[in-house]
Amino acid sequence: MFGKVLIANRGEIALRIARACREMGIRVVAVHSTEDSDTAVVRYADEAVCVGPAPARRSYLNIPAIVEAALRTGADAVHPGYGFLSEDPDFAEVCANNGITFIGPPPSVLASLGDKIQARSLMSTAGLPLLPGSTGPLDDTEDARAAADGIGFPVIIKAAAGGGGRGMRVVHDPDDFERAYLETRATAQVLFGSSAVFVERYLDRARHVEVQVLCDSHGNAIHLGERDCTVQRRHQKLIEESPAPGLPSELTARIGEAAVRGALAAGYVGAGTFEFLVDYSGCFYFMEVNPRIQVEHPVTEMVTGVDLVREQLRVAAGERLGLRQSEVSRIGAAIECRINAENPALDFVPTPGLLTEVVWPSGPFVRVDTHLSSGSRVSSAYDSLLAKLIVVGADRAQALARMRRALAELHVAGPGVHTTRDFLGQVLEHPSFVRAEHSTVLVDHIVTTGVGNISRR
Amino acid sequence: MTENAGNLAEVLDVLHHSVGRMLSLSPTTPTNLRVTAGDVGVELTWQHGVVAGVNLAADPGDPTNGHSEPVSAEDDARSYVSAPTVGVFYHAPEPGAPPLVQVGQSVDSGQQVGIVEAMKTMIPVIADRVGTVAEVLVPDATSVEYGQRLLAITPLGDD
Repeated sequence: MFGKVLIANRGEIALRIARACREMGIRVVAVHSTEDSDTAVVRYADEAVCVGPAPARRSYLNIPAIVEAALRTGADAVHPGYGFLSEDPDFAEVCANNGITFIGPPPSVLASLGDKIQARSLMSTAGLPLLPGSTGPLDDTEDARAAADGIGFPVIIKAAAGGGGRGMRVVHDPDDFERAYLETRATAQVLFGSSAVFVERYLDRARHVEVQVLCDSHGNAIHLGERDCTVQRRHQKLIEESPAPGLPSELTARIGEAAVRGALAAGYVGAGTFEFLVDYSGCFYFMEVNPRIQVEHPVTEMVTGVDLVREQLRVAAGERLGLRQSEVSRIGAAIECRINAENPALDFVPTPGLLTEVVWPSGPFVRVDTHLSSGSRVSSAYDSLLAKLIVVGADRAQALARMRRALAELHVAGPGVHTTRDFLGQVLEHPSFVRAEHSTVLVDHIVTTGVGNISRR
Repeated sequence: MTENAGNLAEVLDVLHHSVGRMLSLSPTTPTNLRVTAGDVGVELTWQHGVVAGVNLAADPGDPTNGHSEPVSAEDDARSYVSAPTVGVFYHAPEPGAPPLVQVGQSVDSGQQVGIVEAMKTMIPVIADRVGTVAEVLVPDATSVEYGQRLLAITPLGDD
């Protein structure tokens, strides 16, 4: 096992990884920007190195600075967390070239899964069902339009190099296609440095279901069941739960098996997530692979009892998986709410600032993953995630009741700071969510019909 | 500082006055001042043999490549050349060579005063003003982090 791990991230995930390391007797190096010099993980870590100024481009995305920090501190391995450099094949390769273990899949696997067009073709070959879509990049408006016509509207245009829910556009009306196509290409070029896009059938009423997989470097692969992440706003997840409510266990078992098959075909190593769309006829379709730990991983941890970050560290150190597929069992139901510093009444605009009062929920079966407390400052330089609130119950009804109770205990205030707490409460009360009959359009529906209620609270 | 915003403004106000009084009582001006609000705490540092200005902005903030930091005191102020990246700070361009600058030496704006090696790349450390090297703060071949102060410069013709 590693003696010292450098965490190339910030915020709640950096602290969560540091805690797993501490439990395993591994020393922790935190890296941070000048903006983050007084943050929880910096105080928690055994050592901290400032790697650059506030803009992520010059600090958390600064490969030479981070690798240099790892070399200087004698770290054996780097955990990239999620976002930032976590899916960057170049970073993984530079780490390897410097004798540092990158905690994640091999660079070649990151490269092939990072290109959504390549990933689609790889999974198609492995026998995973795909939505109808173009098989290669569409570099020409005419070809793209022909492909969309062949697929049938509505379609979704996606950046091949996209991720994190960014760089995609839904087109319902064929007349809007050309403009959306050109805009998505331009956005993709700016965000991801590649204008390659492809087109896929868009499912209007679908559930977003993803499978957590774990693979070691000895050819073993298992899945830890699914998470339902249907509650999204503009492809950003707000609420996640496990198991996926209302889906037949026979169906989720087949989705889980498909994910394992895909992982083995890709030569996957580490923790990863296979994302699928499930329609109301019970068909499921592969969307993409997230080759890293995910924000919503605690939901799976709470029902399986498996510490996913610990497994990542063990697998990266060359150990075998700690359990077989037959030993994976899930108990009860877990739900996670993402508490963001955003104002739902103003189109979820981020509201950074000083947090003068912070009370996190606690009590039975409640977990709060956060790096913030009273007196913390939420920087405008980074994302707006304040905390992840996770509860587990014997069944979904108990978990929902527990989440309502926990949300009511939560109190975050500061000058100009708003949170998504009340909005999440509204989603939890929505009849279609309670009955598990919701789809990916639920949040838009609540936003267009119920924002007045929020601003009055 | 866990109270509300109004309270915070009040605290800052009181702090401003106390710091001012404290500095006026000090025989020589300290080089560093650190204030902690929770449970109160004040830390003053004097560097012997150096007539130093006050730098209330104790945090290096966001220094850019080789830029010295401006200092708040008007007379005799020191400015600092900070590390442009995390890496190893060297005084000389190569092993065995004489250091690029020494204490007491005058430097020009744009002059190279050191090197930081990161990932086998040599990144020059550049002075951004005319002055005299007052102190070399970090020994040769030492790991530094981004923004760490490397040299103190007494600016010339600064008014």
